[in-house]
Amino acid sequence: MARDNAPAVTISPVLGLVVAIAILYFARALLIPVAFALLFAFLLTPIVKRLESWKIPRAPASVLVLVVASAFVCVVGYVVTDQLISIAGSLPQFSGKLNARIDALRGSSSSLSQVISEVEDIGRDVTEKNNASPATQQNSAKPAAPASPLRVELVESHNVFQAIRDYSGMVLRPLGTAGLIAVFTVFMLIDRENLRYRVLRLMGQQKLQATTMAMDDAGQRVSRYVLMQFCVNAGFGTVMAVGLYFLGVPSPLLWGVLGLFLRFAPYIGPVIAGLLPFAVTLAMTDGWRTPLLVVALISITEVIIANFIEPLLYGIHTGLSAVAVLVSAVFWTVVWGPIGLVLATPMTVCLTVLGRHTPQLEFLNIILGDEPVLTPATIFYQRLLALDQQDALNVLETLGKDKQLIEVVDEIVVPALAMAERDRHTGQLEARREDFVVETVNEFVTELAESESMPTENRRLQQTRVFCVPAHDAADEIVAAMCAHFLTREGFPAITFPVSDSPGELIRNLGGGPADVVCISAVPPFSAGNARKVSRSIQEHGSAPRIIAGMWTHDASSPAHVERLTKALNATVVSSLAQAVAEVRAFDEASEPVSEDGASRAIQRDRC
Amino acid sequence: MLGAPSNVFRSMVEDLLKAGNQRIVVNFRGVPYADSAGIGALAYNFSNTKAAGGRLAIAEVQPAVLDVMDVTRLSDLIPMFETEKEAVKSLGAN
Repeated sequence: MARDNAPAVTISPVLGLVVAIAILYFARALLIPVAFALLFAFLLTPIVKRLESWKIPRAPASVLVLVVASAFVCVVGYVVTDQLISIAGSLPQFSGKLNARIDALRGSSSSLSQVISEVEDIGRDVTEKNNASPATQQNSAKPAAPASPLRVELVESHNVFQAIRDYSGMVLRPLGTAGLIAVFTVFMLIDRENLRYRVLRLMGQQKLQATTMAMDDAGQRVSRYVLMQFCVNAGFGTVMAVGLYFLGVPSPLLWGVLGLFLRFAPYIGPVIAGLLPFAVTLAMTDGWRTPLLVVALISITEVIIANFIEPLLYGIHTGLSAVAVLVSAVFWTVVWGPIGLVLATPMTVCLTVLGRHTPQLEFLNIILGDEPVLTPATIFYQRLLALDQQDALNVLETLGKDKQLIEVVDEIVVPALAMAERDRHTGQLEARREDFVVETVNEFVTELAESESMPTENRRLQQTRVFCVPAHDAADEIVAAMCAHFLTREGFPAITFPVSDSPGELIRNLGGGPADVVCISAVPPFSAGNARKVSRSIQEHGSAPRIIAGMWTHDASSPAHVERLTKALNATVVSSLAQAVAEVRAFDEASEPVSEDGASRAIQRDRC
Repeated sequence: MLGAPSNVFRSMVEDLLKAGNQRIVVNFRGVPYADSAGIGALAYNFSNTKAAGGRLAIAEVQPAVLDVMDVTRLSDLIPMFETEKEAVKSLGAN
């Protein structure tokens, strides 16, 4: 209890960022194994869960999975090392050929070598002169200069124990790190619930749902990313192995497997993967054709994967923008060195997902994520504010390409109008921009109505007549007209009234009755108050039609709030045009069928 | 017909009513089509005229407009005439 009431400590974002980077840098010896373990835990958890579903206890299942994964890595490592040693062993046979090639290279670039050699000589002379002491400079003028001081270097004599210490250090350090990663991984696999509860407690119990979502999302996306990268790298390795086989390069399988694993290090990995078979081909073949073909094969494959396949796959599956992938690679390499290059994308994915579900870290998702920063409605409104009608309509066309027209209106046009209304009420919208917004949307609605107008003979007429009544102003009137348009498309006779002081009297004068529906159109803000006035006016005039209150863009997620509005307005509350159309349709279906006389009366024309 | 055109139509009829003109004929000769807002503006003017104790009739209604008036059942309420002369005559006679 006391901990919950502790005063919150706030630090500036910049200071927080600096501290975070410092911790990442100075604690890298601990954090790198933890990061790897976390990554492996994300990867292996689904397999452990599967084993648990087969009634294998978690601890043995976790150890078993890790042992199998480690064995696989060891076997592949052994094969690769064995092949490499074999290749290295045969290299001396071809050293003469390799030297001849190097000589040939030197010969072909003799003029360039000469220039470089001369530049080096000049540089050496200048350095020697600068380093020479004044006394030496004075003495240099004399014919018999004394010899310069002899440099003495102390060299440690190596014995057997020192050699063992050096070699064991080289071998034991990576082995120790690998062991640490394995231990962390096993504990993360076994104790994953406990770890999750600790993170939940750390982030605050009131954010239970958000944190749970973040952890689930991070797990899924990191797993997807690693799987995708493995598939891409496997493709790279396969193309390499097949290509090298047809080019006659020895041990193509070895190079393919190496390519697969080396490519986990972005940018540098493929270069190393390509250099190795190139060097071997250079040493084992006579001409230049095969080595150059090897370079071409690997370069073209890498260019295609890096520029076309990876952006497509990673853009979709990790939720990171292409720029974020590049920046994260640089950042993690600077902070954690070459290992950071391998961990860059998974770590950034985790940060992005945390940012998505944690309000305090939302900036990470905005900077790194690939989701549109602005909603379609905001983009449309922004174009309207820029007084660019053509661009605004183009945006509407582009963003609504795969949507139904009513969805475009509900999701883009009406929310944009609501934004304009909000800005108008807060005094942030200039009159000319307000007029432009209204006129542009107006034109859109008018063109919509004209382009989709259908002769009544071809339309299945419904009996329910709908009066679309704006609650207060021009924005309400525009959405009322859109509502009428979609109702007309469904065959409902719909009339859009202009803004009126007494909508109840208007409806009564037009013979509105219980068989008709009134759809009140109210764009926020103040939509509830305006809609209430219209509803009251209709009820006061006693025409008693069914009332639907279109509280456009209203958040209908709270049933209690909707119920309160329903009571206050004495109407069915809807928040989208699609819902309004559905309500009218339901009312029409529940109504008694129109008489033959009524139907014929509706289409008679010869009264003049 | 939203925004400015609707407002012009409304204010014209309102001005006529304010000027004491109780009988108004609207000629639809140049109106080939009317959307829900156009019909709504007509209905509004009809209602206003009626509320002011006057009468409003329309003349030379084009087929597409007539279709819309039929399906919205306004043709039952608003008197329609083939020519402006007939409309004027009808309102004048009453």
